[in-house]
Amino acid sequence: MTYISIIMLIMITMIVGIQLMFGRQNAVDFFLSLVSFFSSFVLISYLLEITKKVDFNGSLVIVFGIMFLVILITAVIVRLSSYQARGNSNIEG
Amino acid sequence: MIAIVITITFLICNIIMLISIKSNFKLLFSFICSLIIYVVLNLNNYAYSHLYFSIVLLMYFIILSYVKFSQTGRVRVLASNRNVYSNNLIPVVAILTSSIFILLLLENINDEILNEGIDKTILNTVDVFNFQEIQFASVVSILILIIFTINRVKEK
Repeated sequence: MTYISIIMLIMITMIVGIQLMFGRQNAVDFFLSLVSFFSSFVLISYLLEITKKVDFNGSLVIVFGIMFLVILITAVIVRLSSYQARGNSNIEG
Repeated sequence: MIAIVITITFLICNIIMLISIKSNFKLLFSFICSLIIYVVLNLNNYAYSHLYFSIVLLMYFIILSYVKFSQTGRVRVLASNRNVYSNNLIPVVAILTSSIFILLLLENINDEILNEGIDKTILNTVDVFNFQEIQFASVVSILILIIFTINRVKEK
């Protein structure tokens, strides 16, 4: 394991999350982008812990987890209700 | 060697996830990506990797339940014509070029972990839960979510 591999993982997850969130209108893509953003934030906090010699006691993971879970659940509810009202979506297969 | 293999498999899984059209395959391959991240954190002896994995599992459960509910027919689903070419080619090219640039930039840097192993000495601890602002924000967000869901259920 190296710093380089962790930095590579952070860059790839950020690029994939940005592409999935802003490049597409699909519902599932948006939810998966939230997951990739969460994993990239966790990796960034881990990199900070290694490089700056700080211990977060796992609190940042819980804070970001609660944040993204709330965003995901509200997004699911909003999308479902809007699709039930208008009957139009881009979900496939 | 292990780092190169892990990053290459991560890249391949991400590209397959971006290319795949079925939402089930998207879910599967992004789950493999998060599993790889969990393995990396676990190999580095990160003490809170199980927490990350449980939160990610919960998120995938919610997404899978949404997908399966949308396929039951209660919500009308119309077929849509997506722009397949630009949607799928741009992220692949972006990932490949960015990874090549990062490899070029980090070529001759002395890698501390590879040579000596991670130095585990901790200088200071920062527990975010001790900040009152963050406690307030988390409690308020959970309250708003509960009120929101109650209103949505009442409408139906």
